[in-house]
Amino acid sequence: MESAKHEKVNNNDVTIEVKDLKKYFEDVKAVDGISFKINKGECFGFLGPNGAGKTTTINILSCYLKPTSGEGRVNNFDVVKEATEVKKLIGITPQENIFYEEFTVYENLMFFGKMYTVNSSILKQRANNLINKVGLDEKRKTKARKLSGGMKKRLNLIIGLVHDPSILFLDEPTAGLDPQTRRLIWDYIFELKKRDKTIFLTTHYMDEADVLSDRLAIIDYGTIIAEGTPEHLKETIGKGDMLFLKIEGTREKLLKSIEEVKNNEYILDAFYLEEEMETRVSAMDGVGKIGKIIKHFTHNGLQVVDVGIKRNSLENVFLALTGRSLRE
Amino acid sequence: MSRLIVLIKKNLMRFIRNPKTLGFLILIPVIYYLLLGLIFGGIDFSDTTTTYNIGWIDDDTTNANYGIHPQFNLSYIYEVTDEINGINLVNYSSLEEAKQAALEGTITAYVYFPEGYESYLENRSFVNIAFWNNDTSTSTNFSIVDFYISLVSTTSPIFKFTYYNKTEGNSILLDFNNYNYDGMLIINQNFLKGLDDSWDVNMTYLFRNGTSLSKNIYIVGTFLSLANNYFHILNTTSDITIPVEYNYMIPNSTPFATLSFEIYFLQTVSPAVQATIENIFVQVLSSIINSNPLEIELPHEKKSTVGQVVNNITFSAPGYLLYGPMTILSFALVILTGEKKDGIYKRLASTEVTNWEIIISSIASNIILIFMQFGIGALILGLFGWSPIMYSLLDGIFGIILTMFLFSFLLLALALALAPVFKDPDSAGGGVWIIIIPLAMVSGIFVPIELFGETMKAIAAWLPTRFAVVALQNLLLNGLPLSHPDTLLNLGLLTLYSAIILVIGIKAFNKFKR
Repeated sequence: MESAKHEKVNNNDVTIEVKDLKKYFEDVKAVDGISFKINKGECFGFLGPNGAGKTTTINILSCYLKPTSGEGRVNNFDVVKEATEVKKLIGITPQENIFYEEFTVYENLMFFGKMYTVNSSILKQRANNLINKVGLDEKRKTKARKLSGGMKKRLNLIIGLVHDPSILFLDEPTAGLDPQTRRLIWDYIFELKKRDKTIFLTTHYMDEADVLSDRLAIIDYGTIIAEGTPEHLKETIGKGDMLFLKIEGTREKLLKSIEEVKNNEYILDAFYLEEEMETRVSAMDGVGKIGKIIKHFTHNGLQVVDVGIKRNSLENVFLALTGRSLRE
Repeated sequence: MSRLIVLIKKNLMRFIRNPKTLGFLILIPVIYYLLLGLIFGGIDFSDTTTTYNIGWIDDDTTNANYGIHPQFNLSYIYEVTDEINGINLVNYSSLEEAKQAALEGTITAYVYFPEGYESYLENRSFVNIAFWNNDTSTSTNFSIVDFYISLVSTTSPIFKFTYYNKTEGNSILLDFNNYNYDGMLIINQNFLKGLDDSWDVNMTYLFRNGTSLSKNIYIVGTFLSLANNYFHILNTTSDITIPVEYNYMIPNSTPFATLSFEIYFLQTVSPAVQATIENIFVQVLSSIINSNPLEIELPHEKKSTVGQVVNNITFSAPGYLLYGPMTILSFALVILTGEKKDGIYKRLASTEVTNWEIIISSIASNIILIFMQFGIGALILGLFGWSPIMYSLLDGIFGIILTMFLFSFLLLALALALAPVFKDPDSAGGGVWIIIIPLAMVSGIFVPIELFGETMKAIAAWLPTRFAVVALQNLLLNGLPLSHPDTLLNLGLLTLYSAIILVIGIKAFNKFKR
């Protein structure tokens, strides 16, 4: 009954919809006219460097900040005019660890659960489940200040889930974590995806966005510069896949073949590295085109004896779009 | 409601779970009050009262009627004052003789009562009224003369009336300064006809310049009550009213002359001792000199007031007791700015909690801590001889609760307003003392305001914390009831200040929170 009350009819199955959203802080255009849609059950990655506008977008969609202009809707509820309804639907895991250091893990969950007006008996059960899910059983009665960095991050994550929201805003959920804890959080996010939760994930980790997102948008200086599935973005934007070829044959033939291979439209660049005695070919969808490339060299009387591949990455996509590295 | 309780519980738990904060919360008032107790209460807990030898010069040859008004008799005042633990009165026949004794160190101060003092007190204790029957209409059912006779008999001995007919009354009014009347009650034209015809009728009360509002309200209230009772018994259906307006003062009337008693000190007597002695005498005599008939009706209450021990701690305790709670301002600010810095408000903003719940829970939890601070202070000062002089125990306790409640609101309103100024807990924890120390110093929390210069006294009079000090002084030192106009006025002003600062504070805080 309670969840039905919170649902608003959504014909297109669009859970989050943002139209020309702007947020200006005096002269700073933190968010400058972004638009996107997120479907139910989708994990939408929001990728961008620090200060790009990711957290500001989350703050607006979670009703913490009011936009300068534009519109944000969650389950068709307006985030400004219908904030109370929106808050019942969403859970947020902020970038920083936000909880009471002097409270235990269990007390923090109980406190924030009560702030969402979750029934006490349900809350107790849910708090114990969440603690178990993220491996904090033994730390249940430990004060938050005594937890390790990774444990704090896990506590920070599950506080946002204590009222079992259908929509999650995860703001840099693994920033600064060791690989093991990061993997643990990823696993939990995968589980949430399986439970049909809609997830809005901001990150500046390329691999994280790549692995977790069904679709993603790249934001820079407050505007969205690319949007699509990770695969699509990698196939269409960037330096392409890099092939490392060890080729045997005469030097003249090899150099001639390298020049010829560049005539293919999917080849972005090709050159011979003397010191390494290695041919490098940069190609869009290089993995898919690897057969054609090898065939090109063998037709010219050369023999490809070793092949190495470095896939195109979202880092390259970002670099191609902005001319900057994501971490600059 | 349950969310609010959880928030309050959370706020208190944060104090309890943080050993340093909890330590400071308890240690600061404990150390502060222990020091004050040791300095001003003396180390010997059993006897902390200094005995002052005070000279007494009665130059008055007039005599108040001891039978009716024993409290106006200077011999009676002498006896009551001399019974105060810590005061030893010594009779002298002249100012010169007393001055000599002071110079020789026999007495610390001396009090002088001028000629006519008892007579002056007694005269001011009566309400002297000119009754002007200005009504020429007649009635078979009602009589103004009968009403006058009833009025005289019912209000005696506090009220004295003189009856004037239409022509006499007018000449009295024109020559009012030559008579000893507090005011004139006028039966207006057609008053009797109005009663017969069941109109609503009114009398007019004109008062002498300089009469206090409370006295006028008492006088008019008495007339009004008696007139309605009297005429309603005679079956009138008219309602009788007497408008009380400031402009109903008799034009060009001059206030009654006042007569003061004097307290003399040698310059070598410390200001603190001077203030203590002055306060004792003012308290002893104020109930008598203040000729408000409401108070004259309660002479036994005054006796209990003047019969108490007033030591240094008791004299200064109302101010001291506010200092401990004032430190809560610092803790409140640290919590408010800390929660902002830690992002707690951001996280709470994504929940169903409202701004009001956050603000109210903050106020409620800090009120609990403020009462705890007050309790610690009262306990420790009690060990050092603080003996509150209260109108009654119930009145005192209720008054303390009300005053501290309002004081808490003021502090929390200040905390909300100051949070955006200091922004983070580090600067708030230190910087707030720039506010606390001047507020405490100038309000008379540390040092009695009686020792201030006139400029500082004037500044203090406008400080909200001063209102709390005065209210507590009235309740715990002067033995005045909570309902006393001065106490109510100060509590009212404290409420007004708190409300204004709270509105500003909430607006500023809501903006700061984002």
